[in-house]
Amino acid sequence: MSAAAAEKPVLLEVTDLHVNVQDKPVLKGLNLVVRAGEVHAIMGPNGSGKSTLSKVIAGHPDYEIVSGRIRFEINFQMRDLLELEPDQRAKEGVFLAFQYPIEVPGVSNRSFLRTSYNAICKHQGTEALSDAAFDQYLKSKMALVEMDEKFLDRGVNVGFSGGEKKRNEILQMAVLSPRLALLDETDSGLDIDALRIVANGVNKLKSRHNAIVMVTHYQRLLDYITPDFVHVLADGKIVETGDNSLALKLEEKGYDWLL
Amino acid sequence: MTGSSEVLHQTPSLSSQGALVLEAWKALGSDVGSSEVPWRQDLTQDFARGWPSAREEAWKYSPIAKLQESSLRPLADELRFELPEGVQACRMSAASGVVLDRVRDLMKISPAHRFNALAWLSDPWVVFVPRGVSPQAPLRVHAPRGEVNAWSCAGWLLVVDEDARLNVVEQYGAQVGALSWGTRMFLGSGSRVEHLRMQGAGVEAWGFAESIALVSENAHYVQVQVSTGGKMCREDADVRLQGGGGQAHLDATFMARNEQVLDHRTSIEHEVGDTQSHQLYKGLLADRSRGIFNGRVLIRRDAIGANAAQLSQNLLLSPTAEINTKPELQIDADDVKAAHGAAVGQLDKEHLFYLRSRGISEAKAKEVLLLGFALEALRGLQDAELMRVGRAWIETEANVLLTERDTSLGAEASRTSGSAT
Repeated sequence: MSAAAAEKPVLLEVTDLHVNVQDKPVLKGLNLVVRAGEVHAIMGPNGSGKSTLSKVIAGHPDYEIVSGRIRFEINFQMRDLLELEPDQRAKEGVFLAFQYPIEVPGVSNRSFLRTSYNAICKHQGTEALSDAAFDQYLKSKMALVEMDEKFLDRGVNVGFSGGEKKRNEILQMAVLSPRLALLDETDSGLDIDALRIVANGVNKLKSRHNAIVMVTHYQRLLDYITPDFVHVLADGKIVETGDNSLALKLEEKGYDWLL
Repeated sequence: MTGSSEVLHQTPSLSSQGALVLEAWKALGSDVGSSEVPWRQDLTQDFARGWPSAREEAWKYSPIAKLQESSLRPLADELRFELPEGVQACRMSAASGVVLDRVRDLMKISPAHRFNALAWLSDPWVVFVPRGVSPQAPLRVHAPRGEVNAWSCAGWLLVVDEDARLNVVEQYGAQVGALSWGTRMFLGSGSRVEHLRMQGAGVEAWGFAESIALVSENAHYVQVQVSTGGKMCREDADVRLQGGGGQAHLDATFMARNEQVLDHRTSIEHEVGDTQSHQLYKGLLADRSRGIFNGRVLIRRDAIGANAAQLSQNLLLSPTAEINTKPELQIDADDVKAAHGAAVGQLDKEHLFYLRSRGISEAKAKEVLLLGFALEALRGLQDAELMRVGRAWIETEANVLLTERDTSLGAEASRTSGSAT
């Protein structure tokens, strides 16, 4: 794997990252390199810092970066991601699928998706789509996650079931086609059918130009989306990295043997 | 407020404004037959007693002492209708038969306070929708626009017969001076009324508006109130569910800025069982403005199976804005459902982050969230035209609220994680 991987351009590089939440250290020297075309799974016990990592990369304001850096490839150069506002990061191709998607009453899903899509188009210098053209585009994306059109005219995530919310996240990912997708516990709260639909959607969005980082507690999701790398995050650091067989070993043995 | 209470509580003497109102009431009120307006005598006494005190619960938050210092001349004013096809109108004095019976039921109800009573100074118009009639176009009602030094007064009545449907767009608010505005309606069994009320008074104007709806069996009343104008405007909405299967939606968005006071009082009475009411009041308050929501729900003893839900949600867009929200639930029956809740806050930073993580700039995200918050009040409307009109009004006003000031809201959330040390 290593020879081929080395040729692929680096998308994300996290170096010796230390992060505090309310003055408490959560990430304690984390290193991670993600290249285009790769799928990474970050696993670990509860409270190990998995969700923190994905939120910090997306720019959530509640986290204090104590030291270290996060760099992201923008126009063939590695740039400091921490200097960018959350919306600028999204415009450069970072996407976070939320563990708990937010309900936004009064804002229809359709107009939310359009506002978001057009903001990103504008930044990337492409022309915004007309409403009709956007609807057409949206339709094709909805098929990917087997979502009904009735969800478009409801408030964002309002009255959606847990599974519908997660599907809506993947729909947003499909519409925005990010270069780096962070899936934060996307499998939690999904029944087996919804899990299959979400995983299918993600698999169809995978390409050699983008990368996916899945944060998950369970091996289950990895039966559907096969990772190139599995990392074990414990006590704020990555303590073990391997291929998919590591996930199976974790499933069998738990985390204790690593800690 | 405490400093001035002594002054306000001195022995009532009739101020010049009070005298003007009383004089007008005596002169113009005589037009209206006392059989239709049985409470007129009480009000004359009310006015004669003097100006209401700010210590009274009903006026606790409203600066009506300032109004007392003005000298606005009450004026029985004219409104303007755009009547859709199949809908009739006449003066109250010309009403007869069943329409007159309904008018009498409606006019029996005493206004919540004397300033609302002024709306009924003269012979009001009565609009009648015959049985089963369901016009496509809405009834549009334009209140008088006000005059310098005048207190404009106008009211109208609506009688909707069985199984009829009507959509109503009311636009009111004096540009200057003051307006007392009255709207009373009767919904016959199986009828449906969607009622969009848009209050857009001028920045220095005063407003007092009442709406009363009597809802018969299986009738459905949807009121959407949008209040944005005026120096001080008060709304009293009174809905009485009088027949089984009757339903009411009473929703509102009010947006205040500068030193505006927008005061909303609602009262919903479940007189019989198997009735439903839903209330959603949304306040957006900027600068040093103040909003008031007082929501009374009364479930009478025999109203078994009544269902009442009330929610007051408010966003404070500046640290000096204020909201006073108070539910008043009185439940005299068993086996009913009643829920209420009130929330006051700023834009949620998790909401902001969610939008920003989708590439939407902070300023745009605030705009989207504020607008979404305000637009929720339109949830009960089915009619596309009312929806369009209400939406346009809210969008325009939300824009004013956002662009005229550099909102400090969510300043916390704008801090990014980029501050490496």
